[in-house]
Amino acid sequence: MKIALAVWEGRIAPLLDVATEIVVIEVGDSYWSEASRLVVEPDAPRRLADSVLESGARVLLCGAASLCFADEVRGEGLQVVAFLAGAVDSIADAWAQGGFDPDRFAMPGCGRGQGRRLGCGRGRAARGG
Amino acid sequence: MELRLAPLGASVGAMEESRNQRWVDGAEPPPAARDAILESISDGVFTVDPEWKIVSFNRAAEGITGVPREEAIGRICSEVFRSSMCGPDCSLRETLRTGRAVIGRSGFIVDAEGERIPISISTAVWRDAAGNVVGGAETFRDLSEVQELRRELDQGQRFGEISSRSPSMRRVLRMLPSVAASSSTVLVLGETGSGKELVARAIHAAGSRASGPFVAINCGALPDSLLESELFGYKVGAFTGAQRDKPGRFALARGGTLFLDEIGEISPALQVRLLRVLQERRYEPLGSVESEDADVRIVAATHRDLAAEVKAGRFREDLYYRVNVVRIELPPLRRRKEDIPFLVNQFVARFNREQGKSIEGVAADAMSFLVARDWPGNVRELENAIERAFVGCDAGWLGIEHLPEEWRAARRGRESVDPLDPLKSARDNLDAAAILAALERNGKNRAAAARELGVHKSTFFRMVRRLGLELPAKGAGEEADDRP
Repeated sequence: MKIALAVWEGRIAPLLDVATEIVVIEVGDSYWSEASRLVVEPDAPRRLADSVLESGARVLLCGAASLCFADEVRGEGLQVVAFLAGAVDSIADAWAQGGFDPDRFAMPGCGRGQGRRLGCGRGRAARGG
Repeated sequence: MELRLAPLGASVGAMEESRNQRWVDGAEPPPAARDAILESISDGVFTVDPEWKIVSFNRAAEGITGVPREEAIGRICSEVFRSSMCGPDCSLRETLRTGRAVIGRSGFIVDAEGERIPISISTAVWRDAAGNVVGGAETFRDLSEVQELRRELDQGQRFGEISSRSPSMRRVLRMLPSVAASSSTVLVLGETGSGKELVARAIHAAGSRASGPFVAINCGALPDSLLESELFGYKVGAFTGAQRDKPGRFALARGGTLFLDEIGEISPALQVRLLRVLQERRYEPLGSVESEDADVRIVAATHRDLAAEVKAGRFREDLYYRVNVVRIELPPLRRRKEDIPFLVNQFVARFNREQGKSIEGVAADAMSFLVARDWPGNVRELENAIERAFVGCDAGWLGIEHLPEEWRAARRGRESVDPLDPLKSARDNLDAAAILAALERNGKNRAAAARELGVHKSTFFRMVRRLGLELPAKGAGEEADDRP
């Protein structure tokens, strides 16, 4: 399967709303490889979702995302796992190994016990692998 | 800007450990005082080390971002701050690269609840006592309340593309949302150039028919027979030359709004036909035996006093009551002069954008001149004046020299007062202003201006000579011999 990650300088981009670079990876059984890179326009949720869906990915892993922005992306049919932080390699490794735990890569202020009631917890229940 | 303060260490409280670092004036403030200052201010403050990891994070920063200090310390700043300026546009990075502070840059952060919070930020280089760069500091201010207050202030000052600072216009703006929400027929009254079509478009755009078309027709611009076929359309063979069906404006506006501009100009015969359509909401295209639904909202407009037209027998009373359901009266520009500087700035910004120029604005004396004018052509005339001024100016400020010569001549006339006979000067100034205004109203036609002023053409030219007026270029169709 393919998943997409909003990135900046080798890490998950801090804010999806203004992210301009998406890495699409092909995830296999305990391995992953980069499939493509997309350049997207900031603050254009529908176009971002269209580009990612066109690449074949159905899940987008990203940093913070405003509720309105994330809702528009989801409205296009793309699953969003938001408020993640960390190196792209680590997150891709964790996804490839299966049982991806968003709490392990949660942004500050969005950890266990906080995310569920806060906006930053919305949509972070995905499981990879 | 540079900060030479004790590094804040792993927390604000750790500042006291840095004994070898001093404030810029050499005095070492008591650590407790530094803590108290940082903790008491309402602006968020954080500092980072050269690895972009947060080393201090004050209480306001916690409140604005929703991130507890203990989770922020030691994390990469962009993952805590999550602002629209993080990434390639990072202000702190720019400051550390250039050594120059960034002050008051605007953007937004996304807090832990997923809400966008508008902020302004300022940055500074953080150096130790020896002058070495040890990181950066960023302060940020929550602008939510400011924006909320601004929105409240703007309420009643703006509707669609229309904005105003004038009390008379604001009364109109306040009623427009409810007018737009209704489906009633609207009559917009106002002088030429006062923005009647702009109001009609705004009502359409804010109403339930916004997704439908907005179709405008100037009833005063077409002869009666043509206006009828334009409004209702025709079927093939309806008259000589009708070789195929043509939909009228009622059909084109189906599901939307039909704007009947200058409704006061239509003939009595067409008034009857229009009345029937408004009553029955159906009409027949020319040459058709079947009627069609008039599924349109009507917004009509006129510069005439329709009630007076009814009294004079030129406009049908029953049609007047049909269109005068909701009535909006637009004040002329001379009664809302407080809007002139505001409108001028809007036009300057627009023409700069459209023409790729960088005009700064209108100089103070020219602005005073513009505000003092009566603007018989209203906002449209002001817009044209600014567009015309742009022709002779590429950059800098628009001055009086960029305004039409005839206006400047009138001004010179008004300013030249004879100290020996101030009454005569005042009379001359009035005469000059009246002549120039009459010329303007009559398309620069001297004969027509003389007629309007009630004087013979030769008297008119004698007055022009005596007053030393420079006449504008002649109007169209004027004969060659009508000169002084």
